[in-house]
Amino acid sequence: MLEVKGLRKEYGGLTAVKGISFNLNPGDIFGFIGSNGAGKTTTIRMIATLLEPTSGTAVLNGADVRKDPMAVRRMIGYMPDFFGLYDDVKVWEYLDFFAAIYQVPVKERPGIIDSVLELTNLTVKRQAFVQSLSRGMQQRLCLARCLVHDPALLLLDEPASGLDPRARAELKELIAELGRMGKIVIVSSHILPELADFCNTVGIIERGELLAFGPVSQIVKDIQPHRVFAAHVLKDPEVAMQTLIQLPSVVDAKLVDGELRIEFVGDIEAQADIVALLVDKGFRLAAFREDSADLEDVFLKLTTGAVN
Amino acid sequence: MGSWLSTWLSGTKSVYIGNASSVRDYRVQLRGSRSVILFGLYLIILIGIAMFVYSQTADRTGFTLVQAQFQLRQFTSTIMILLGFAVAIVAPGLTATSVVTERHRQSLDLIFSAPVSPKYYLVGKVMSSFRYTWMLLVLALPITAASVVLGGASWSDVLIAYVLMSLFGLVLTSFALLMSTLASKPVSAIIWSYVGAFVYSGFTFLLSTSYTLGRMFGASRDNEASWWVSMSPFSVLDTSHTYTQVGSLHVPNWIFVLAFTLLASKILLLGAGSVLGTSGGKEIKGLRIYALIYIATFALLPSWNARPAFTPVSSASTTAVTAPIAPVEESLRFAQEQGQYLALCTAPLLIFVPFIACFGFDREKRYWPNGVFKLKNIVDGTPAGGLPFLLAIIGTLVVAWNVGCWFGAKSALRAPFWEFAFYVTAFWTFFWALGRLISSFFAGLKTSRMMVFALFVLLVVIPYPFLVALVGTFTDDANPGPWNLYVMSPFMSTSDFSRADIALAYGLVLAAMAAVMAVIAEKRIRSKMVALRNYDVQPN
Ligand SMILES: Nc1ncnc2c1ncn2[C@@H]1O[C@H](COP(=O)(O)OP(=O)(O)OP(=O)(O)O)[C@@H](O)[C@H]1O
Ligand SMILES: [Mg+2]
Repeated sequence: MLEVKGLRKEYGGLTAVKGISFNLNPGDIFGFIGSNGAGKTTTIRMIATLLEPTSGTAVLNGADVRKDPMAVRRMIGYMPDFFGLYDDVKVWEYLDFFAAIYQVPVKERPGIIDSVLELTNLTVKRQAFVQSLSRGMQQRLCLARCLVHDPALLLLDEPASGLDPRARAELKELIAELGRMGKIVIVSSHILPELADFCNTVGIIERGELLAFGPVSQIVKDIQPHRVFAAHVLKDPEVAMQTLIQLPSVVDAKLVDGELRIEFVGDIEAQADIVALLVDKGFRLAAFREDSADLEDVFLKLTTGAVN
Repeated sequence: MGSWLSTWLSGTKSVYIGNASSVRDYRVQLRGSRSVILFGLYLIILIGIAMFVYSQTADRTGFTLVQAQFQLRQFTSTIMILLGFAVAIVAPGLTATSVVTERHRQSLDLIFSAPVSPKYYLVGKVMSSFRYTWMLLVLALPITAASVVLGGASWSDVLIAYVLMSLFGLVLTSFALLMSTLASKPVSAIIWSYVGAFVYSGFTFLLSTSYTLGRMFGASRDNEASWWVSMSPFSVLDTSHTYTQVGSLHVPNWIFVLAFTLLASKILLLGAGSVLGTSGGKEIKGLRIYALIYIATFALLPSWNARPAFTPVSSASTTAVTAPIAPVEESLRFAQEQGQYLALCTAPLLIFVPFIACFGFDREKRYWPNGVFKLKNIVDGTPAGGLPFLLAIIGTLVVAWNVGCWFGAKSALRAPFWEFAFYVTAFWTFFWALGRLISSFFAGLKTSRMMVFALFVLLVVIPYPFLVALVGTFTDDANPGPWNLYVMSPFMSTSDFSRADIALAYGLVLAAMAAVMAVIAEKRIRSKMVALRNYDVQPN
């Protein structure tokens, strides 16, 4: 379990991270969202013991990043937003080097290297030189490197940048798999759709402050408690609006840009009732779709775009 | 106890045996035929030169045995100089880029997010480049062995020469590693490493020539000499038999060199470690505490041996024997001389003061202004601990000096010494305050440090040749006027007692200026913060 407690980082006069706190449990995949300069990398580097917090701390399975950084390091895999690959080194040697650095016993290394190569789909590149790999492969190699010591926490700083859609999909699948293996995964990104569908927890950070934290559905609900449907009625939309407001399942209805926005509580039957009602009353219904808020709306609503 | 020992042992073993970063470097080094070609080339050159030198000496006939002996020794000496030269060329070159390129490639973060201590990492680096340096020496064995077989040297000569040569290489390697961790570009790391290698080789060579020249002109037929004459690898053969008398024991000088260079390398590596150390500041703490201990140790050496001219004990006196002077006057003179000596011994602070005084933007932590003077920060490397640590250094030096003089010369140091102690404190505090003032103007840490260094040169070094040209004498005995305007004038004479008073006056002026600068710097820090905010950072 990872407990982040009031983590704060000041750079002289600038406070990059303003005391953020959250907890994550094994199996959690945490999407860390924020615009450029929001403080994602700074936070991750503090958890990775690479940067000393000005105050506050993070505790991973009982080990404190400030008091026992070495114990924390043994349990984390940190993948920065750059590769840091060595030239003149073969893929297996690269992994062997990190296995050695993580004090994996010599006898176990070949087996572990084989299995992480398999997991990241790089087995055929075992003997290739690192610099000869494509960008996506290098990215996967970096991930493989983070896995040689079977860490409890993975810190992935913008892992999907520079990947093609296919590689991205594969990466998501891989991360989901890591979550199923019971690891805590922190994934930072500013590309929202990338995160929404496979993270079970998200945090939105702006100017060093954690504006929202929790499961995606929860965060969305906080911002917008009801589901929203949009209905396109070709004639007399005002009348349709008045009619709908009478329904018990409709909390509110508004006309926005000639389209009906219906705030709705109720089950799928009630949903069907709305459509039936509109059709029965002779309104010409051209379209009816759900328009509930998603992560992107939440993000835009919560953040102001201000930067430090 | 037993478990503590075994953890320590296994920790130490993992650092030195099978060190991962050294293994990886080794793999890369051995990849391809590059190293084979290089070593081959080296061997060919070495053998070529050896054969050439040998043929020059062996060609001529009609030598007496003594002459032949001398020629052979000359030959061996040439080989040793060549080896020393090879080490001086290869060791910095191999090491200088090692850390800075990793920083460039950004692989340092990967390593330090793993359970790797700076010590483990640096030891790995030292081993991987030292292995190369050692190969050079080992490959030369057939040639050095040949000179032994021919009678140019004894096995013990060769052995000691190899030890001293390795130590020389170790110092250069450690220095290059420090430069490599400090530099932001590989080129500057290389340049500074070679500058360091050049200065160190030159300086140690000068130290050893005092002995070798003395012998050449028959000044001393004895093998007793100050230990530092053995530091130079270029005169290894001439100095390998020197010793220092400790009590009734003849301690070979190479043992002192061994101790000194190991400690010096350790300090350099701790310095590199404290630059790399990102969390906890364990390395910088170690560096600072070690520094104080070493300063105390090395201050004891000269002060213990110092003897006022009047005392009957003076045998290995550092002071020239002059006409008999009244004891009171002599003890004043002695105090002043020791004060000057002490002040000169702080010269290395020139490098450290910009580091401990300045703050500002750098790649990482630690260097943000956090106060002017906080004792609790004395060893953690933050700017608030800069002045406390500076004072601790000078304080340690002064105390050790007094202890040395008390036990060595059995005399308490009189007022002139304390005037110099004050002067030197004020002198460095002035540069500390200057560092803070400059830091409050510039956002970049490197800029501030370089500026302090440059201003030191401008205020302290450059006036000297200028004044020499102006006044026409090197010291001020003849024409004191303009010299008194020079901040180093307290050193300009050893015989004139008024120097200590000038030192006191300079101390007061410098201290006052330091105070003013420190106050202005504090006032400016606010605007400095704004500068930081707007500093164009593009972090990852
Ligand atoms: N070494 C440093 N010195 C001074 N300021 C820094 C330093 N590193 C980061 N910052 C500042 O801290 C703030 C947060 O930076 P951080 O790198 O954490 O952002 P981020 O969320 O990772 O952004 P991005 O999406 O661009 O990667 C920024 O305003 C940045 O300028
Ligand atoms: Mg970032």
